[in-house]
Amino acid sequence: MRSHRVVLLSALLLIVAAPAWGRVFLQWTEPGIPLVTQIGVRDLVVPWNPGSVGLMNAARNLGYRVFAGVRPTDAATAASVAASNGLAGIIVESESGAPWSNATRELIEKLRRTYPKLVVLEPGSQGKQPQIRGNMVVSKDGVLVVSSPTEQPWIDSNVALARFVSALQPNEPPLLSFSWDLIDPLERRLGPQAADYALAVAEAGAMRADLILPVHPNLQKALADGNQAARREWERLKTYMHFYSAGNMPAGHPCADIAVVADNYDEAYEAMNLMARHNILFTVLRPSDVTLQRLMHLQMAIVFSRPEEQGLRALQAFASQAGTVVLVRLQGRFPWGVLSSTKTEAGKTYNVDRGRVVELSEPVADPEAFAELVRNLLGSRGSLVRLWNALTVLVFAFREPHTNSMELELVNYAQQPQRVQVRVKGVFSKVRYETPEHGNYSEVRPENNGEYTEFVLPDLQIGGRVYLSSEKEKNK
Amino acid sequence: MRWNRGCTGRTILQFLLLGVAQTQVSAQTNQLVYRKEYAMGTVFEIAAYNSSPSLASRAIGKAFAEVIRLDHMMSDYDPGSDLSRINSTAHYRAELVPADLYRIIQQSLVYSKLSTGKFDITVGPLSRVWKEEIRGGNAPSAEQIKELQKCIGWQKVVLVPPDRVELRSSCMALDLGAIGKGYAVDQVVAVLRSFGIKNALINAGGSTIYAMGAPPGLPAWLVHLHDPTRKRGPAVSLRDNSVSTSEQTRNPQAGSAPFGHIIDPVKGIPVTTPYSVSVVADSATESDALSTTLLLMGPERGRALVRNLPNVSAVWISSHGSSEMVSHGPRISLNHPADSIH
Repeated sequence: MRSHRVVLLSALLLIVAAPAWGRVFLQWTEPGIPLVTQIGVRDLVVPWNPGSVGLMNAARNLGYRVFAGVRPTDAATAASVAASNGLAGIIVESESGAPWSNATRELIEKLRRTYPKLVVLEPGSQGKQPQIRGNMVVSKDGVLVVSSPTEQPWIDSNVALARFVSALQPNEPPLLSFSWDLIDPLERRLGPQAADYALAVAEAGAMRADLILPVHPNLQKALADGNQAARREWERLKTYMHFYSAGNMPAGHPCADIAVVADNYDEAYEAMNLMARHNILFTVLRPSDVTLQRLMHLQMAIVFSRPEEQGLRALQAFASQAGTVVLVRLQGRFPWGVLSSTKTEAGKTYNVDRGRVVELSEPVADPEAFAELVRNLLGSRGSLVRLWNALTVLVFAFREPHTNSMELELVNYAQQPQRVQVRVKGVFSKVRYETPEHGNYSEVRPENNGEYTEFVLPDLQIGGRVYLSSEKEKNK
Repeated sequence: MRWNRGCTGRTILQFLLLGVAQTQVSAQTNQLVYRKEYAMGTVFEIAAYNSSPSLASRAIGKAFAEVIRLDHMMSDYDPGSDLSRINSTAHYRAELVPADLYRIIQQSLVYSKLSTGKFDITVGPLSRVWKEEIRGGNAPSAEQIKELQKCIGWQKVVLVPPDRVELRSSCMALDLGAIGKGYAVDQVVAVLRSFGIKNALINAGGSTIYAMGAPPGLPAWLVHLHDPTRKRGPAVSLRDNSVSTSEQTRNPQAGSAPFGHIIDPVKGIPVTTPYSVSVVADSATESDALSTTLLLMGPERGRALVRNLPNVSAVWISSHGSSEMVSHGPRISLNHPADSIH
């Protein structure tokens, strides 16, 4: 199957209707609040405490939609106060590491029933500040450093979290939240750089997620005091928020090469995180959601949690149509168990008609090696999108419904301008590139190389979007 | 606040705020300031102790701007870099180059001579074709390698003082990957010193580290060294000197064919070696250049070279567990606990 079917099937197999996304909630703690027109964002999250009601009311009077950020233990009280004070809603912080604990979900459902006019949201789980991570370990005791061969930059991203949450709540965009990871006392006092804010907005927007953006108290004060430098930088950040707002984004649906079948976030997290790091495009399916139709347009399924019998049969049918199924230490009998297999060090491989099922006997001990294994199983020509000269760039692909058009969202975590070489599966004659800083670029020339289209993006600083279409499509 | 991290570090707003912060912390001494920046394909990190964190922060901003400037000059990916320019125009023609580029080529030739050609920045044409293999392409054929070897040779690089370079081969291309980060780290040290910073650790992607002074209350910076066996626990105490580590890229296919980014210019193929090499030297340029050189030379020939170099120490640790050490400078210790922080 694969490439020639991708276009047709993906249009038919859209998982959900595209929700609104790219919404930024500013987390605000300081008493001074600038006007909505200056900030350009209407949604404020104010951390809940008995003394914050005054701040919430002041923000509401300025025209903000105010949400109380609450712990699950305070949620019932906060919801009651929010409803009686005309707040827009409450955002319930997750207290467990894994997204969507049952207890929190039940609480949220109960609050939604009790206060039907109140918006009740949950970020799923605390995410990470998007950034390039260094190799030094700076602690209160000093600096630990290891001399090594040149390390590839490590990216802290929220891709795994966003993908997992999307599987759990397919009808809503994931809501990301994080705290700033500020290392030294000066940085903690001054707050993050403007580019760090922009990167957080770009990452969430590129994944079609909503974001709770913590605004550092220093910046809050500077904006409220009318500091001109702060205002200028905020205006530039607004171009990012505008670029990634729902109204300015294409309505494509995410596409992937791989389905990760998992219902336990912790079990699958490291593997998902490393696949994200290697720009392996994946989607997450709950075991109960595994059907042949959901797998059809993919190259591979990596199964961490055992589906029911119907799901297993769907996996076998997927493999028989040239798909690759990798089972990570799953016990029990499987429908393909009657077929002949080859034993390897890692487990067993079954040839299932045109495809294969690989049963790994051990859990993923080395996620880096696992990501490499996945890359090898996909094959050098198997990926939907490949990047070169882009060690710090993550890419997300979307396909326009009912058309042959695609969009790519690229995020450069290094925040340094880069010239990125891109190869996309499919033949496209027109490539349009735009960034928040630059707007539209006049020309990006595609080169068709067999079933692929290659091009070079001249300058990717933090975020960029590529529109791919064909002449045929354009003339429709 | 900054948008382009490469330009000036923190911009106006942060300087406004720094003024407030400075008065708040002036009574405190030796605060740690840590910053990181992506450059030269990896992450540069600087941790500096100073009584004025705002001064340290400004110094680090200037230092990173210097690294970005050098990256734009020495990059072989960037078609607009000075290096790319001479790689396409300096064949049989003495081309004007920036002072830094002239200096780094000059220093490279010293190591080429010292190592009788094992260290060679003219390996560019071979590096390019072997990089394709790392990206998933095919390895070059024996004929292709033979042809490309005609393009290389450090003796064909002619320096025309004070600022011109000529390449006496029509297909020669310079690759500064084995020395560029070290040179950049030395320039960072110079910038930090010009701001009065005395105690700092500069880390260029893990492979080259320079220690200025020492952390407060300690005699030196402790740096752990890469250990492929994870059993030897090598470490070195640095104070106003540098350590660099080199190791060949691992082949994910686990094949026996030549593979990797460190090319033996004499043989024209990636070096196959079980060793990881760490070298301690007075400057980062020296440690960076020597770590690649000693990886290519191996312990036997490498030890002979190190014996003639003042203040240089080196350790080869093989993936099989053996180690070889030679020291004319700071002592590299083994069996250091892996998780210790000074």
